[in-house]
Amino acid sequence: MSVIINPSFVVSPSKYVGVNSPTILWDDKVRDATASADEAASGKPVTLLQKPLTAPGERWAGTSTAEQHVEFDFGGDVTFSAVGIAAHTLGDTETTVKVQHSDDGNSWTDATSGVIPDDKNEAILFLFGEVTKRYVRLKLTPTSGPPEIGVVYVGPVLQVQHSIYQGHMPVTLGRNANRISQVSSNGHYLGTVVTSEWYSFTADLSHLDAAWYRANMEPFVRAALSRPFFWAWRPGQYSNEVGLAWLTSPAKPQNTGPGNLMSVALEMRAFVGPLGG
Amino acid sequence: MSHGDESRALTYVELDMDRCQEVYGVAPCAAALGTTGTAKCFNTRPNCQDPDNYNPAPFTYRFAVATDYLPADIPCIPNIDSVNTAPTKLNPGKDIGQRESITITFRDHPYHDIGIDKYAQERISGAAFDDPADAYDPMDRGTFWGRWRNRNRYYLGRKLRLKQGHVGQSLSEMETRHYVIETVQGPSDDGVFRITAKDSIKLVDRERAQAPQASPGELKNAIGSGDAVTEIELTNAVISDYPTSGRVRVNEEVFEYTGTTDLTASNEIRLDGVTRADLNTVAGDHDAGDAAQEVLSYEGVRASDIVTDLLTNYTLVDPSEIDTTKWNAEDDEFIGRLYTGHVTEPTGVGKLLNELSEQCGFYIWSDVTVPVIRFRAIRTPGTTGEDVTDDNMVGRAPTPKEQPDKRVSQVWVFFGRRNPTLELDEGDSFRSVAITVDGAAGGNDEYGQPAIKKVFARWIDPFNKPAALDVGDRILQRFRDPPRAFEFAKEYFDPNLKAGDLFNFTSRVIQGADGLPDTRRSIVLSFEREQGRTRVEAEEFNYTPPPDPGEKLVIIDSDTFDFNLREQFDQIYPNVEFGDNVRLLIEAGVVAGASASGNIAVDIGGWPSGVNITVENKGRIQGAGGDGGSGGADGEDGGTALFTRYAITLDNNEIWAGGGGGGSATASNDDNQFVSAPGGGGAGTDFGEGGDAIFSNVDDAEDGTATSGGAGSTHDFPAAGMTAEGGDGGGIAQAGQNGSVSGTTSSETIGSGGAAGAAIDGDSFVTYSVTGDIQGSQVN
Repeated sequence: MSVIINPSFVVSPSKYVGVNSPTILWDDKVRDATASADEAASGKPVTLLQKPLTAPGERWAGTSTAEQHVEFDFGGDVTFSAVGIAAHTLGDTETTVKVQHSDDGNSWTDATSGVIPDDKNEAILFLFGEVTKRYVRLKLTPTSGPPEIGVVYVGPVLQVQHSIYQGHMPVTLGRNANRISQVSSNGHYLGTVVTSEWYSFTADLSHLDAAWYRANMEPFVRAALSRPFFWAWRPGQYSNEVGLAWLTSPAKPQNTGPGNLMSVALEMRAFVGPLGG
Repeated sequence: MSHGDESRALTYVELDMDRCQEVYGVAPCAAALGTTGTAKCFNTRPNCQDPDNYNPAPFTYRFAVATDYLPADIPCIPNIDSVNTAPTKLNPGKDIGQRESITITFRDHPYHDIGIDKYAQERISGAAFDDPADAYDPMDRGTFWGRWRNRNRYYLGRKLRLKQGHVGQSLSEMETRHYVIETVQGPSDDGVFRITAKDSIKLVDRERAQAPQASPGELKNAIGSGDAVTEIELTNAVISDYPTSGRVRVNEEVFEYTGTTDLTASNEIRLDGVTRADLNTVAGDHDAGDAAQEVLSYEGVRASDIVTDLLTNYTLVDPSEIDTTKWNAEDDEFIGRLYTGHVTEPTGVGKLLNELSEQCGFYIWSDVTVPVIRFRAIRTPGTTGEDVTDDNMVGRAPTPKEQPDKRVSQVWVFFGRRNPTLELDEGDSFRSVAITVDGAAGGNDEYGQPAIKKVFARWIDPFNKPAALDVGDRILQRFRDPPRAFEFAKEYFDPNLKAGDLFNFTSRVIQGADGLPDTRRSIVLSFEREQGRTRVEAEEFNYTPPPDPGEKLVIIDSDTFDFNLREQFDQIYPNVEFGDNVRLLIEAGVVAGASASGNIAVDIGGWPSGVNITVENKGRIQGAGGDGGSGGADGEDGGTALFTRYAITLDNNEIWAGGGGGGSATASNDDNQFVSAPGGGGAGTDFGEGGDAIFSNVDDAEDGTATSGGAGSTHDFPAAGMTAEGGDGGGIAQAGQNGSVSGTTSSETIGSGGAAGAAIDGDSFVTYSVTGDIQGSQVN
């Protein structure tokens, strides 16, 4: 349950785009917002949420299991339709998350909500109907420990024009590992040591309208040179396959065919979270 | 713990860097924006604006090898690219080996500084600046390591810990290896930063790890070789530059002193109670401005205590890593000797430790997993330990490596340094050499040629020949058949093998004559965890300790004077107790004499009850001859050879009493004319000197020799009708003759010949197993 789609979520107005189109949250509004929280553990301030870092220790943390809020004031109205959360312990702490927005910071409206399953600390992408508001907050109700969150994005989503059908490695299955299997001099299996694991994959996006690419993809790939983004390759069908991804090489689109179309390969690594929590 | 977690490796590095505990501008910190600086500090010393109130405490940075399964409850910055170790490599019985070092390569990256910079948020808001317009987001300016290097430039010697374990373990459960930072490099233009750190013993290799430290003082005044000196003034020195008592070396002469005085002139001190030509050096000429170097002396000290002193007082080693009680216990049980050495010029501590390791028979290494410095004597390897076999080694069985360069069939240990200013690596600098030979090993039936190992032993004094022989035995035991070395791998998480561990190695690559695997007792020389496995370097450990001789032996193997058995015993053995068997061996051809007739050649000294003392005298114990008289004085009595007030058993060759000196004679007549003749010196070792004539036309009397007295002199004055004759010195155990005068005299002074010394004073305490040749009285 990593992509939580509210019925209000509206796919982009395109005859091709559907809920199973690759969905990207990259235009983050949180970084320039003013962040606050009801609670913050020592050394784990809420401002850590504004740095898209996934490592343990780079996270905001609450101090109790009381209902609490993490709030962002954008200083003015911004338009958004998604909230992404990564590098968290909301699964371990069995936390109910409700996304709310407000015009004045006092009166709040639910955008969508979800209960994170036990032990599932995967990246989460909330999708809901696009709104323009000054305030967003996460209403957290933990049950088994203070929650921690490393990354929160709020912004509009980019939906790619076409779904991906074949030849694609889903983000949460693109496992890589450095590992050494040990065999004794006499041929006995002595075990395997894993020294690191990570996720990487490539998304081949094709048959993209050239004008659409320039208007929508190009701003994304330019920003993605230095900033990670949330990636859900088929949110409607595989809602748990989402991650905080980053490009491992710059995206270089090509014109394809006679119909003024383009294709591009996005080579990515991702932090999906279930191993590290 | 999830399935497979125990195989998911984790690697962390922690750095303990200094960070000020105070808050900018809050008392006691007196820093103020616009006054002491335009921006708040970073709480490290290089950017401190109020150094007087800088109050550092260790601040721990934690980094990790990046992996997606990093546990959420261990905060870290996952920017480690690689960890490379050059592990401790032991060299038991030869030196202190190679110390461990580690190089960690980090990736550089932007960083927010939250949790590191106390004012990170204020730098964004502008509150950290005198001019808020200077505000910036640390994430957007510079990089983590670029800033770290600036703020932590005083990194030398700070602690670094490598922690390796697996998912499911807490940090405290992981194996931790402790180092100190040596240097850093970077960040480079391609975003690489490296930190190199060493184990604590590595600090002995530093150029500054010298013992003794270079002394700054210089002689204020020249000193001539014949000058009587009781104090020495030094310039360019303060009182703390020299110990309150001790020794200094000036050129090739060593001076002993008993106190220091701070003089009123700046940078001048005085050494008081000075004795020249100490430690068998020779009084020389010294110019004003010559350097006065402190001498580091250890006299009758355990090897473990010398090592402790060197490490704690001359290196940056943390004393908490030394367990003196444990070291002493190991020392007393398996070494059981004391050592003496003098270091008269600044010398690398590493070199001194290497010498001690070889000469005293131990090895030390830093167990970085504790951390602690371990001290172990070369001793029987026992039988317990890990069994390493072809079934549990990772990968291929190793190829044994022959080490013919390590083979030894003869050991020559030069010991008893004549004086500590002589060259250390020349045999002539030593009184004695103990040669241990394994004839078979060098013979045609075995290796076919000798392999000689020379040891120039600074730390073995003249009467500690047993220690010198031990060195030879130990080296032959270890290297008669050179140990084979081998490298193999074990599982990454194998906790059972560490440097210094002994284990049993059984593999098809080392076979007996019948082709079955030949289990070899082996020692881990080094180990490191790398590339998912534990790599082990090891070699066979061949050592069978010599059988316990059941006695504590003291050997006189070259001529000596004024020997006190108890005093020398206490210089080479840490203790004596009821039931101990102590044997003094005087080797054939060696003479134990006395330097003056009032001294005793061999004094058994005082002992606790129940100690069984045997004197095996295959040479000679001889008292000193008395000096001949002069100017009418008596000759000196001959000296005592052997003195005891403690029961001994004597197996004797020769004990000779010293001969008395001849008496002199002086006379005058009424015409106020004088004659005077000195007496001859008595026989002995040292011989008595003939008396000096007081008239220039009269010969001095003859010196005695080891076996005969010297003839007295004669002053014949025919015109005055008087003749004076000095008495002859006594032969071995003989009294000297009286002086005499003949002719017409009005006044005479006749010196008596000195009495013979005693051969044995304390005869009733002696049980003779072999009486031998005793010349002289046996008294009590």
